[in-house]
Amino acid sequence: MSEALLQVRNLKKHFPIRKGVMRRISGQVRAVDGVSFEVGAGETFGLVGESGCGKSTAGRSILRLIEPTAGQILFGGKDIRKLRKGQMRLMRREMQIVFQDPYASLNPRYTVRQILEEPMIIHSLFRSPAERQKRVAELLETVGLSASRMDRYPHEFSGGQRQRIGIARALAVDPKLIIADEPVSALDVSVQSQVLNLLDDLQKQLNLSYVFIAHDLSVVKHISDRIGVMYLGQIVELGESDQLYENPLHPYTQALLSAVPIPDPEARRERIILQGDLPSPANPPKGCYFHPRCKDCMEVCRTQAPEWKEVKPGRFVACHLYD
Amino acid sequence: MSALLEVSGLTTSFLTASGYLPAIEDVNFAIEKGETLGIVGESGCGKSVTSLSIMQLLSSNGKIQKGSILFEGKQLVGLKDTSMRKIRGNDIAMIFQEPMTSLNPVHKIGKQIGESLRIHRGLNKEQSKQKAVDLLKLVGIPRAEDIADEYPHRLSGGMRQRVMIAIAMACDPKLLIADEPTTALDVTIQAQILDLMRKLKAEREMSIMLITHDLGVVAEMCDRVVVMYAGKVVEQGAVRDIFRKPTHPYTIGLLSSIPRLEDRQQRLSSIPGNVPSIEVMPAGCRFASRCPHATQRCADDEPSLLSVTDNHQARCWLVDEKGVAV
Amino acid sequence: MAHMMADSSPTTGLKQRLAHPPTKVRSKFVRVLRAYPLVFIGGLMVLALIFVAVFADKLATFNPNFQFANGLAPDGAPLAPNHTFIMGTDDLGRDVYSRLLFGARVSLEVGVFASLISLFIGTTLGIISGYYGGFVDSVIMRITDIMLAFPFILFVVALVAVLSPSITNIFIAIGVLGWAVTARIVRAEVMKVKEFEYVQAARALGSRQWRILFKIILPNIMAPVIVLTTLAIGNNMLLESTLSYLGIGVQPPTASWGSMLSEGQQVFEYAPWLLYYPGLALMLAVLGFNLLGDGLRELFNPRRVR
Repeated sequence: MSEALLQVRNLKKHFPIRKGVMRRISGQVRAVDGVSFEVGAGETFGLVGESGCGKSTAGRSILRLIEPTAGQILFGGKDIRKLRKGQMRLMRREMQIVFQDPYASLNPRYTVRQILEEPMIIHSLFRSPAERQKRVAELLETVGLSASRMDRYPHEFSGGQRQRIGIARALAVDPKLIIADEPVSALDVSVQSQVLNLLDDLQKQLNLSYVFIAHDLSVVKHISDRIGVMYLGQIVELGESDQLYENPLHPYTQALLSAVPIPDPEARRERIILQGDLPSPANPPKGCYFHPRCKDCMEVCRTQAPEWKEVKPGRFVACHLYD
Repeated sequence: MSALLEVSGLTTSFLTASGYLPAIEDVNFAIEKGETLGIVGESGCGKSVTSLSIMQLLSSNGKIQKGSILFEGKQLVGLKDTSMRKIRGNDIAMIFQEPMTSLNPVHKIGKQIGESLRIHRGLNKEQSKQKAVDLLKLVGIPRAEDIADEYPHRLSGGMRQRVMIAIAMACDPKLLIADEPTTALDVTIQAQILDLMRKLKAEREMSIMLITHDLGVVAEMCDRVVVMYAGKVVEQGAVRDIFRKPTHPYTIGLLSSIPRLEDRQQRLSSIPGNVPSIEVMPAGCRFASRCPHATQRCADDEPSLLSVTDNHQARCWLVDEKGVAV
Repeated sequence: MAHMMADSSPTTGLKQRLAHPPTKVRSKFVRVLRAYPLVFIGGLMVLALIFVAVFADKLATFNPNFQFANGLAPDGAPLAPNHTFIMGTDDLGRDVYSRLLFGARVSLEVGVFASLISLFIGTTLGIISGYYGGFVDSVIMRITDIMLAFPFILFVVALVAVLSPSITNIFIAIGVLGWAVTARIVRAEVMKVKEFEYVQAARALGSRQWRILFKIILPNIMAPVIVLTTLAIGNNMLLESTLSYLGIGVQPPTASWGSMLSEGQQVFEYAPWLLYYPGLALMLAVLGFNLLGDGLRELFNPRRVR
């Protein structure tokens, strides 16, 4: 891989916990605690993990919708954390986001046309109304909706169609990178596959890069070239998606994979059932964050955080088993 | 052997801007003792309405218009509320999708579990408290004595769902209706809960009616499956038949549109279009507009549930024409 | 409806009938009317009030401030309702009917303008408070707390006393002091709306802050604000009459419902109509605004109207 389009280095986002009348800071929620990965042009990087693992916060920090606490975000070699307000506004044309909730992500008071014209107006892309209308129609066709419905309101569309509108809005500024934050989790299975296929087609047509964030392993595996598995604010394992599935190294990845129900009544397999719940990111365990639930926990895991290392080319893991 | 629960011809309607319209129509199925029946379908197919009809917990704008629901031979449709209350929570228990909102935040957990025991079994405070602790142990909650004295907000989502199951198990129900019990939970927690449900079912010989949209969960948990589409049962049969020889084009489409972990990347097949809404429900086969095999006959006449094999039916004319799977 | 059918058959060109022949779907207006008749009753009452206030000079039979010589009984008592003075006269021989019409003008003026001032101040502070949060929010909310904790009437009385009583000063006083509730509600709404992903999407697209605040958040919080303002108009009309009743409101000889009540009280025992008519007018006007406000609240609730 040549120079990556997006390089995230040691990204951190800590939320202060405030207490008392004086709102003194009494602790930190380490929502994202040192995340690093790269995404090449035209590539899909999947970020998978359970709720509260920090995957969404990571996605929004990359776009600076949430201001990161530390780390570097290099887009095309430029550190976007160093950009001033005006420069950042221009940079937003390059990187876009698609949200999970097809109901909350579209302004209920705007028509589809207004929703899609909004980005053009913000960035002064198409000056005349006729040009803008042409572009709106084009965008709708691209995502598989009929342009004749551009003057309708979001509530007149189904969940899957709304998600297509959300995708069209992201495409309106011709971005190079789209962060897709659980884009199909709220959709029914049959509609989910329509949207996944659409994302696939758009990537091929427009050479888009995706950061695909989701909790559903089968979906992430299906769409991603490479996957990072997150646990409690950190990536514990990263690798090519088929390899990661066939030979998971980290005990958490193994447990996660084995927990996915297989849609085949005759498939039988060893299931690793994790004990207990996710610890609070405000008060993570000492040593390896995963050790209290790990089936392979060793003495060293209780005291020492494992290092993030490349065990095979392109394959990273943070686990003492591979020291 | 007669079935534990027998639903036949069930039609439930809701009041809309254009009058009462059926959300489910002519629904038939049975649950045997000790069996897990899966009800699968996408949002709006009527699977939750079916369970609420059985429990007689429909909102005020909904009503059962036709059909019968026999539980151990007893007719539940039209039963007085006082008699229904004796069955609810006692013989038939229910758990819901949202473990966050199904518990009352102002009562201690022990008290909430003990409540149905005090109502249905007439236990006193002391006894019900002791039983509550036993139930918490049964559903695998550590430090059960302490947790019984806690309020729900102290627990995680997975723990709350365990408490919901403990409440459901309190009176040893014969039938447990689980409406998307793991949808709001993470996969690793889902695995814990499904494991628990399997264990309880085996120990107590109860029947489970599992409502879900997740075909993976169905494959793992169920003995038989009912597939619903747009308010109708479109296919039913043993879980093996449904997954190995799906017959209705909707079932086939559903099965082939889920991404599978074991597959190498390839294009997903998908079902075009959307589920029709109840105001514009087409006559004829309700799936015809999205079906790759539809003919004029499908648009004009609605097929009934036709037998594919002895215990396997599909609502599709293709069965009639070929007598076999497509 | 037609588009939904067209949408659902992309694969097959099959024409299908509907399973349940569509019953005639009534227009939204009719459905709303049937579901919420109160909106219309309240709306009609408010419209009637506005009509009366606007055309007071056309509808009035006499000059409201003219003291008729034949408007008093020989013993100097006010006249009961009769053919000439349909609602009788007051103790100075003025026509009660005409005063009532012109009083509507004053009451409505105070009610509307005071509410608009509260609306403007409350919305501005509420938006700033809710959107920016943090220290600014704390400061604004503490001021709001103080405003709400203070005896409102006392505050207005003090302010009017300082400003000297006149219609303008009354609505300024009521308006300037009455924004606290609006600010609270606007703040809560903004905090809810700003978490919606469409606001995040606007930020991700590079919208400037003013655009997000005024073109995206503001239209989405207007529904509860409109309801609140409608209710506030009725409330402020009551407040005006209280002030006038206390003698620090509208000054004589200008008619307002409050001042009419205040003056009528002195001769109430032998001229009860001097209280009945302005009292009834006030009650109906406030009721009208309250019915309208409650109706609008229902109407704006997206889950209610089918």
